[in-house]
Amino acid sequence: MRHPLLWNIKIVPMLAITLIIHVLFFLTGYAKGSINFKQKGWQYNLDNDSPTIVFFSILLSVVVLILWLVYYFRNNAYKSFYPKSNASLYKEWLLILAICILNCSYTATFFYAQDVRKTSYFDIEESQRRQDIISMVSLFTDERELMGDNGYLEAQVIEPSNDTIKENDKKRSLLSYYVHRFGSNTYYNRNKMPKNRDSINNSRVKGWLRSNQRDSVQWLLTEFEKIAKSHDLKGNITPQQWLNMVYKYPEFIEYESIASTSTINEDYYRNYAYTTTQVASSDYYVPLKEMIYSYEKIHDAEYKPFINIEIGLTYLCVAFGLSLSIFSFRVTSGRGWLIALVSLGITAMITGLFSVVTGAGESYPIMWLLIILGLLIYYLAIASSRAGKGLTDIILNALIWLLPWVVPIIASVVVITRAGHNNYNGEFDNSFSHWVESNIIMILYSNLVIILIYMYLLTASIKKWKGIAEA
Amino acid sequence: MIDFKKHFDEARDLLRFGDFAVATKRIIDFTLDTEQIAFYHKTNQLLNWLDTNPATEETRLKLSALLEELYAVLQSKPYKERQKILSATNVEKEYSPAAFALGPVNLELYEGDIVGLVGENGNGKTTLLRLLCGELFATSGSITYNFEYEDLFDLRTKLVYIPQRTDTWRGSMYENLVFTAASYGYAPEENHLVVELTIARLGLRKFRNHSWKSLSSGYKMRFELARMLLRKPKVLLIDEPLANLDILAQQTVLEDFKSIAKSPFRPIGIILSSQQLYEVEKTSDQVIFLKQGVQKNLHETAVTATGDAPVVAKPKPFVVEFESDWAQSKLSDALSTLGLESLQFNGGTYIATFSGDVNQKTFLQQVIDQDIPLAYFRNISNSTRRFFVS
Repeated sequence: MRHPLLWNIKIVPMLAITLIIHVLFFLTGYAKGSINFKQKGWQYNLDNDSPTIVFFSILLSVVVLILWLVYYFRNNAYKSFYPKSNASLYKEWLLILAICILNCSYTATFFYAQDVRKTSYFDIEESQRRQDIISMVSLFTDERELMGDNGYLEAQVIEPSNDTIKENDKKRSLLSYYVHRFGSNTYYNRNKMPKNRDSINNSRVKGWLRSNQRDSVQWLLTEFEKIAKSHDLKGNITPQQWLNMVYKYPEFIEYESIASTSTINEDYYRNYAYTTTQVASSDYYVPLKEMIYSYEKIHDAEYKPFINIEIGLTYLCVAFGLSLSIFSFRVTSGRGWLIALVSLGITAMITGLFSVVTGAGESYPIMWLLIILGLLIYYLAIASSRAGKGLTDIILNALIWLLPWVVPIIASVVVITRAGHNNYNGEFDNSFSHWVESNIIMILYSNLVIILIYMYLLTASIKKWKGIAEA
Repeated sequence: MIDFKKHFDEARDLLRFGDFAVATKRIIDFTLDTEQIAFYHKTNQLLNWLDTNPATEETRLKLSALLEELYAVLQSKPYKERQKILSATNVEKEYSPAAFALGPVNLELYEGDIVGLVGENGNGKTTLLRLLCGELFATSGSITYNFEYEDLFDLRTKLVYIPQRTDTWRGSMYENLVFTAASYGYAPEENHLVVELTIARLGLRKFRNHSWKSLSSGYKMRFELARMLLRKPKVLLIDEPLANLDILAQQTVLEDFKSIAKSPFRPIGIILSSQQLYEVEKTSDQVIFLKQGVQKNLHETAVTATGDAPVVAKPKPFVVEFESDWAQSKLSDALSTLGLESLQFNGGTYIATFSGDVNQKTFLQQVIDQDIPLAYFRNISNSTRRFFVS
């Protein structure tokens, strides 16, 4: 009763509902994030949950949004000219924003929970230690990777024939291969040079080989067996047997081929590995493929978690956009909202056509900047006069939606028109435009802060604007 | 003190003559005047008791007891001084050069006054109301509000305009009124009490959980009045409140307007438009007739340059509306000896205007002398009805 705004906006039930949904998604994500350490590779029926989760998340968001709006729009103190403080509309928008953020981020919670589960198996040091061992051990199995002449790792294509593989393998020394790189299984960075730990592991194990530190290699294989046993996995050779088969100092050419798993299901490998197909090439195997697959998941959860700065920005932008859309409907009218939407759509088409016809790419954002400026001037002129509202009902909707785009548009103009494009060496010149492009995420986050600031002023103005005569 | 005691005496008379329903309304008004939660509780308890008990002598005793308690508290409460709250000077409104134009209109509104707006359809009544509530801006002239406000929004919170077609609202009536009360700063402990009293005041107790679509237009209008009471406006502007109401409901609503406007402690100014001329004239302190946007006041007054109290108007000719079986020529001959100036047949009745010292008594005497068959007559010398024909 003391806070009619909070009652009207149903903040308490909405917080409760959205938090309950978040908890459910978290629990689901946590359960789904468990790792089957015996799984060798991606399987449709086990690993294809994301589209389903995203679909249900969006559906739930829409349903909750609609239900909330039905109750929220029952009363409108602003439209009824009930007393309001200057900051009242700003508070209302902030509450709308909070609800939108909570209601739009169920998938984030799900995927975050998955990462939490994956990283909960071991602490970071233990996890890294195991990954290092698995990475180094891969050199002694057919999971090793081939280094190309240009210094980049090549895709390794092996014909599905046991003899051919054996022959190809034995042509190269172990020293010419590379250890398995964790985090390289996403296709976009498949051919990038590995950094940091991969390089260290690679140098470390090859250093052992070059300096004939057999004991170190034996220790490595033994540690691997311990890790495998901890996951109830085993190969058909002991570490000692394995060592004898692969440790062929000093050339390391006459080694036995050790398979990284007991059996290969060719079908599902064809599904997921575009450039590499492997078939069991040896009578001897160790459970490396399962370990790689599982620890890749842990690695990704640790170093490429779902929740990162870009994803966070995406969710916030969606929430901000939705909140401004709802707020503009709230403070104007449905008619003005619809007309503004249609008008902006038509304007977008016209300006798009114009920029295509003129061929000047930067004309499109510049036209929009001018449009936003024009709308703002018109609105301020009406708001400061005592004449009728005119078209400001429509203009205000467009303004609320377009003002957040000012900073991104300016940034895009700067980047599009920058001097000193990439040179052939791939070096960028040290200009402001380069700075903008390099810090675009920070700029967009700053834009959100700018929105928070100017909305305080704009909402105070909107409150006064409401009192202006209609005609 | 006189006005206040007069109100209480009227309430006592209502109880004495067994008109408990109206007496209860007065008691609710006095309860709200106290602005004390204890009295809100007492009156609500009495209302709950009245719901479940038929009207008996015990009802009279309970109501009387509460009335006396209220009197004891309110007799020492200071009155609100009657103040001018609104003045419109040469206000004109032109939608476009070729279209209809309203004005110039001059009017003053004091707290506790009721101003009626009458006129044919399309002559500017709604336009004037919308001008006064700030929904339209005047093309020329000025409207001055003699109370404080921060900005235009704040001004419009103090001017309640109830249009002829009210907006749809969602949820139950009770929920909407509680929200209104909360928005207007009623403390949580008094919110529900005041809402219950307001609902009872306007005869809406049985409908508190009804939604918009389940109410008749008359009750929708009462809901708007209930909401208005909670908003405690300076000025109430209401467009055609009597439309869609039966004759009893019209009289009830007009009585409500009168008691709300003329409250000794919470007076407000009311401007209402209506087609029910005679009912509005009975209730209003001033009636403004609009024809083609031009103003004619029922009570001609002249405001001096210093804004002092208005002077008394000049004597008006005697104008009478009547029905008769006789033809117009025969009637004219029969009434010509009385100083008949004009005889018009208008909407099924005759309007006769007399000059000189003719009054109702001399007219009726002439009717008897000439044996004129008279089915109906009404003295409209002081009614805006005469403007509809002149």
